[in-house]
Amino acid sequence: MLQNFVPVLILFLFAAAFGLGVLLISSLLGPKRPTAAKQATYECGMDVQPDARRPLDVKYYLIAMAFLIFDVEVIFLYPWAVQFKSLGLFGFIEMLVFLFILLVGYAYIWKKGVLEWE
Amino acid sequence: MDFLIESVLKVAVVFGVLLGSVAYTTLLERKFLGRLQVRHGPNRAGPFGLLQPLADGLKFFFKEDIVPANVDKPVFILAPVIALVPAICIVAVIPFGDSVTIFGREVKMHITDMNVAVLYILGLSGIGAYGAMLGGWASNNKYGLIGAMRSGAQTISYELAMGMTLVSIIMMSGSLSLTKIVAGQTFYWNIFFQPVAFVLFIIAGLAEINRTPFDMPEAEAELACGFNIEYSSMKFALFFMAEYAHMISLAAITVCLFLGGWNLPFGWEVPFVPKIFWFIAKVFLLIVFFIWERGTFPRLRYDQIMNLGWKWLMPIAIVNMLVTGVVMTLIG
Amino acid sequence: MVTTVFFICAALAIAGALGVVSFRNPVHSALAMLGTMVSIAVIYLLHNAEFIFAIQLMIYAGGVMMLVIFVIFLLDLRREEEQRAKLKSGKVIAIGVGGLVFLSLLIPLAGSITGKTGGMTEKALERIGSVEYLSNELFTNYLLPFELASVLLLVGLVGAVALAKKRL
Repeated sequence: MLQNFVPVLILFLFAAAFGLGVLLISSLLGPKRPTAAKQATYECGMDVQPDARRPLDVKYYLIAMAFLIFDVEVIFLYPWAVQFKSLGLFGFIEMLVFLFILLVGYAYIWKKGVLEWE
Repeated sequence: MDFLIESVLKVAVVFGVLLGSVAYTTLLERKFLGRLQVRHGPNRAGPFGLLQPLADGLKFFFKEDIVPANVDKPVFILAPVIALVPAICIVAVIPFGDSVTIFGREVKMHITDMNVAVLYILGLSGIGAYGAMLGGWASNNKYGLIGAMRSGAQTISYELAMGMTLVSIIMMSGSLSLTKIVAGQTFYWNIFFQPVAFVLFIIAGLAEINRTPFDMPEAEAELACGFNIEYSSMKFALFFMAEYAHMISLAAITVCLFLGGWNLPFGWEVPFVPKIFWFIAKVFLLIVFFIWERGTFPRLRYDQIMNLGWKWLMPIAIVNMLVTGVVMTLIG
Repeated sequence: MVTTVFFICAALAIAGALGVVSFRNPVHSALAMLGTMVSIAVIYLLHNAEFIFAIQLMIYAGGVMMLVIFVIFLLDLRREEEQRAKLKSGKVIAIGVGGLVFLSLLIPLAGSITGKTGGMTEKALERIGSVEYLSNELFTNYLLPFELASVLLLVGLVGAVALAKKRL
């Protein structure tokens, strides 16, 4: 089975070598004439603020958290789906219970306005 | 040792074809979009502009690579590579055709047959999203940072919808390997049984790779290109290539999951036409469709995009999965 | 071949872990953590656990890291840097506790570093690592933990919303 992954490793090495390689080549071939104006942050001509990084909306954190929870749920769905035919009706009911509990969470975040973006 | 040489050769061929396809998809897009907007598109470099991708590629090498003064340098340089490498690695699990015999040796038309291919694809596309996020953050630019956050939130939202949608396909095929999913479609394609899942998957896929009409992260009109605003030269090109590689692999994955891979429907066979031809034809048509819808639909607002993903696609995918389960249990 | 890949991945994982704690910039730490996560995924794979490999990529390298990055972006980094100086004594205690944990982990390793051949041969591992085997076990013998997992996930979700709600 491990043999199946050798080509993936080779492809990864190809891709990484290509990505880093073209960056290196272009840095060797391209001209380098930095000026202060050129290196300034692009803000459509407005006066540049020193640092753009500032705390972001907590919404993004909540979306990431919800994603993580439901992603774990999906991970449970996959093995179940693979064996769906042999697990039969009982397996289906098990999954309905599992899904129901998480759908309660889904309804909760919907109601709490986590999914609102206006 | 034979296996190793064969693998390296196969990887080299697929890698080359992928890069070539990426280059010429950009030309196809520019030509076709041009026609949709009643103009010609690139037509100066070579006949019909056929040398345009080559000219663009060479140009990128000789352009000055501007690194703005207050960026985070290591992350700024690594981000495009992080975007590109997963995008390329996804093609490892895509089967292009049946096996062929070359020099008396049976060669399978895929780089590898992974038992967990579907999960591998979802995982890698998640990692690819860091490229845009870190790139936008490292730029230390407000537009870049907003683009980065949007890109991250949008990608994960739609990855979820996509993962839910795929469950119903896996219930039918009973495997996570793309090769086996394709092998189960020699007679009936999955789209015949799962049209809803097909539509959901296309929408979620387009949103996940941040393509129009879901290209909020790089909305020119308000973010002036978003996460890649400070990028120039080859670094910019790598982001661009990652985007197109994602688009091609999305088309190929859709073909494998829903459109029978290299098979014709109802067990039809056409003599003298190698099966890989059907695969390439279907992928090509899907890419043309992706370009066509880009020329047709206006861009959505960000709140509309997030609403669509969380409040529409996800519930519909769950219902679709439950209906599939009920029908399959009833039939036995 | 397998041993070589293992040592490369193990070295990368440890280097990444060291990077996580030693980099000054939290985003650099997150990037190092991504490297660690991917290296660990490959180590799972070397034990024939394909499904765990895929999960590691999808959940840890994909989901958890995304959450970590969002949280880092959420924080005010400059204020964090000002607070750094105040934590001198806390740091010493943390190093001490961390060292003790590390030593206690080393003790069982020192006794049996060579390892014995048990029932977990490569053939057995290959069977156990498959999705089908895991699914059959999970949905029959380990049904209760599986259903409880959903409750746990629900608690996590509600907790996150409740904590952030004050600031919504």
